Amino acid sequence: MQKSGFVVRFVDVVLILLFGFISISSVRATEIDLAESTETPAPAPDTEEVLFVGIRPDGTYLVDEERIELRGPNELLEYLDAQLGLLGDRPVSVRIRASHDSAMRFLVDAARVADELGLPKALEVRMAGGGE
Amino acid sequence: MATRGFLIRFIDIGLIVLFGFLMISDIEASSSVELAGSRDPLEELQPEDDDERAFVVVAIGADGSFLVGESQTPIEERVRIVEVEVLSRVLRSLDAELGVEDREVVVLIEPHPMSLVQRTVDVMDVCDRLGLPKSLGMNIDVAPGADP
Repeated sequence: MQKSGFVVRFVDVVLILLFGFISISSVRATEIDLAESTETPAPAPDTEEVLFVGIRPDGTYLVDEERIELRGPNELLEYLDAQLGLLGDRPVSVRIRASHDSAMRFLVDAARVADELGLPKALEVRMAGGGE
Repeated sequence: MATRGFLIRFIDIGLIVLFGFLMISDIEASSSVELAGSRDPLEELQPEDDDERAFVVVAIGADGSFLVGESQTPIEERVRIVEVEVLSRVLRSLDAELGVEDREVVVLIEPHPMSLVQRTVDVMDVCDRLGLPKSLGMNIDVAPGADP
């Protein structure tokens, strides 16, 4: 009787692990592999609306939680301008999430777009080791 | 007895789901580096008129190597470095050298358009570790036709 109880519990555990992995396997938080920084301190909470711009290694920009792909700074400018229109008077900033192996020119292009729209911008990095 | 057995199984399931999510979740801490405007830092800081500060240029090549030297040093006389640790040592010794003359070192980071973002972040980390003020040159021009 005890043995069958143990087997039942074991089967439960295995099935839960199996279904858990199946259901979670399609979840992908982000495809951008950020550059790593050992010295950048932990951020303060955001007090403004943040527009995230992901940059793939091939220079494609990802916006709207990486659901929309934009090719080139002109498309990025159009998108951000449209978002500003929707957000009205709320303070907005741009957070650039560049893949660690993307070229600087794409980051610079994105930064220039933010400058053109008069938006403060920041480069997001992954904290490692000594980051506080 | 049956209730107790059910409860134990329920607890098992709950704990497995919890630990499963914890193991699978990809949690990483991130932070952000404020980026300044796109003006040329050399124009903005006017190093020629500044006797109290020494401007050290760290140019990042497309191959990821660093070319280091004071702003008035000709490019052919600047030091080429590959390792970040060596860069750290060079900047530390430059800071010590120029500190003797009572000049504060300011690092001007000039990345090549095709250099990787990680290399720029590495240089920024070195500057932060050494307590050196830094300025990132965002005035990068790309040759026409060089689109992704």
